[in-house]
Amino acid sequence: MAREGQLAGLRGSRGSSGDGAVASRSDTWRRQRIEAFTVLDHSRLLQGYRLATLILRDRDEAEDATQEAIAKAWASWGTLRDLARFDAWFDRILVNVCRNRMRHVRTLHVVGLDAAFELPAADHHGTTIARLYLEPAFNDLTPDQRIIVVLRFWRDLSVEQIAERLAIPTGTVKSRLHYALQTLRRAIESSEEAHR
Amino acid sequence: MSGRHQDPEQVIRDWLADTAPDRAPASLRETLDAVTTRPAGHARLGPRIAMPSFRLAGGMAAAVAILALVASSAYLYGTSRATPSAPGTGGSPSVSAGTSARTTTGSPPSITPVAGTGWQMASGVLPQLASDGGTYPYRSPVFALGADGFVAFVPTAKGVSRGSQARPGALAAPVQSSDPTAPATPYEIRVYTSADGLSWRQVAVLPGDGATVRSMVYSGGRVVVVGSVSDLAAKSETPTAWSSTDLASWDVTRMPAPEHTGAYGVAAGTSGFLAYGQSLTDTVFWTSPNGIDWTRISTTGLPADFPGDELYAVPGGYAIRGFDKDRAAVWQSSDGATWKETWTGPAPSGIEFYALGKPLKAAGGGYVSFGAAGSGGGPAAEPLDIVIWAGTDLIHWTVAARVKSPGWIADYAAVSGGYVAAAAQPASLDAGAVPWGSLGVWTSADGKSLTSVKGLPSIPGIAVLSVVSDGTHAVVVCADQDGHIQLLVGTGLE
Repeated sequence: MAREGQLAGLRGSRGSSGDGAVASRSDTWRRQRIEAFTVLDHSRLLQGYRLATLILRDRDEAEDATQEAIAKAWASWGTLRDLARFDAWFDRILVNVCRNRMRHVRTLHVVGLDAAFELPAADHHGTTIARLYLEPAFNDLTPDQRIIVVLRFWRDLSVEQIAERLAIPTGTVKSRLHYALQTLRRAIESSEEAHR
Repeated sequence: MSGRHQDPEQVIRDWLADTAPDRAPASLRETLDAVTTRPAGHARLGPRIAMPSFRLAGGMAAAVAILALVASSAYLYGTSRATPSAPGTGGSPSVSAGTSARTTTGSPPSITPVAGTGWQMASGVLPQLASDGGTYPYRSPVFALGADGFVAFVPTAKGVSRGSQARPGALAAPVQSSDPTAPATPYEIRVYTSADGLSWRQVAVLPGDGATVRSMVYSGGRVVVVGSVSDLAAKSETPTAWSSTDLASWDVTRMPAPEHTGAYGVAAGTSGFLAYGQSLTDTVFWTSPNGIDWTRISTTGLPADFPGDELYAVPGGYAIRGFDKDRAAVWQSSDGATWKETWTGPAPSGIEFYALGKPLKAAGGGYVSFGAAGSGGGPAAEPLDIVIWAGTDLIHWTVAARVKSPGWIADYAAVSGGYVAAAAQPASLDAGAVPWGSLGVWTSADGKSLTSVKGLPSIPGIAVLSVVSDGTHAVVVCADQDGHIQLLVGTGLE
């Protein structure tokens, strides 16, 4: 958005209209933007909502975050120069929204517990126990650690892909992943001991 | 569990997969529809917006759209003339800096020197901006240069009074309602003038409810403003032109166009006034010999998917700068109907693109434009570089220099001896962040070496709306997230 702001200013209408930035932005790329957002079909919206839910562990918060990301993406469409990268670009916006929400709202509700109890168990009692331990451990992770865990183990992105998507060095991804996994492993190990 | 260790990574994968929701709330689709179908210029998100309201927004969108269609069909094209009540009487209170102007929150006007500089910060000298009633915190004002100084068109909530008549707290801040079905705050567009950017005098209320002003031009003793008039739900817009010779009495023209069309730019050239707008599917052009009677015209020579950024007058006609696909370009026309692409900028270097900015008269003669260069592929963490273009004719440009930008430049203007640029420095470089931040202002004699104006007051969440100059005074127009206008005014490069 900030970049768009820079461009928008450069596109101010004659007479330095205060509304020029807004007007010219909408005017210039309006149709292209609408076309671009047609790719946000149901499956992509669902993927975004899932990503937000897994990071935030709160479906209401995730719904709000996804809505906010849609609006922000629409507003900052000028920052996207390559339509082929729409998914990664939208993911980054959504993840940033989630990160900000986690930083500002520390009292997130936990919905995963219910989901864990509802698991269709085969043996999976131990697994269920592990998940009961996982939830609070995951909630104790930093926002950045949560994001990386979800992108790595749910989105199945490589370290390099995560680094690219979050615009951070691969070393940072590895480091955050390492410490996050350490925490989550401890939780799983605790569940195993509790189950013995 | 039989004592064997589980694979932690697999446990995490399974846990995440099992706790991922299997369907998305309908509100997401509705939000997408609501955001993408709002009229141009209204689709920005303000950080103070109550996000849960989006859950209801989409549900109302369809009903509102139907109402909008019905309402818009009632518009009749034609002109009307309105002479508002005398300034300072009735519903058009006069506001003068340093006297008793009040904002809706009761803030008294103040003009504070910025220590160690020639700049002054004026607060409360213009009324608080009215709520947008949608996703943007407030309605945008227009500041431009007229015959006798600066002219401002300020959307303001109706009923805002001055001085002792003020009822502090009687009006809500611009966007506070979490109910998207609540009607937008009734507002009016007040017209102000100023000789120095600090003292402002209201001279009229622009006729028309639901008006949005987007661009102004002054030519031949006449001010022409274009924009649109929206229905109450802001779901339909009709392009509209206002014209005046004295800023007090205004002719209003609904410009012929398809439904859902707004006018965005106007220029005064050799063939009279030329304006352009955007419908849902097309770019629309109108001409007028006098700023009052407007005729829609067909154009040739412009790309079907027209990416124009600015319409401006050039000797012998008009020009439009914008992009031809991924290259900066300028189209030229003598009559507004027949266009030719007369300049094309350099091709992108890899994913790096080059943009042309608005043209200014250069301090040393000729013209200068501060554009941008940067890479694409998603939000970047650094501001785009400034590309300084030099031109002799407002059409053809060459790169004179490329410098690192000190910030996210929002707008710039020429002043005596150089240039002034302003930016709202974002608090965090968030890909989705709106351009709110702290104020940054730079001066430059040559456009290449920029000097930061030190000691500016810290105003959290401020946005730079525009920079205007009469050659002597530079006025940096800002607003906080509640729509309170802050003006930073300087002379020359001091």
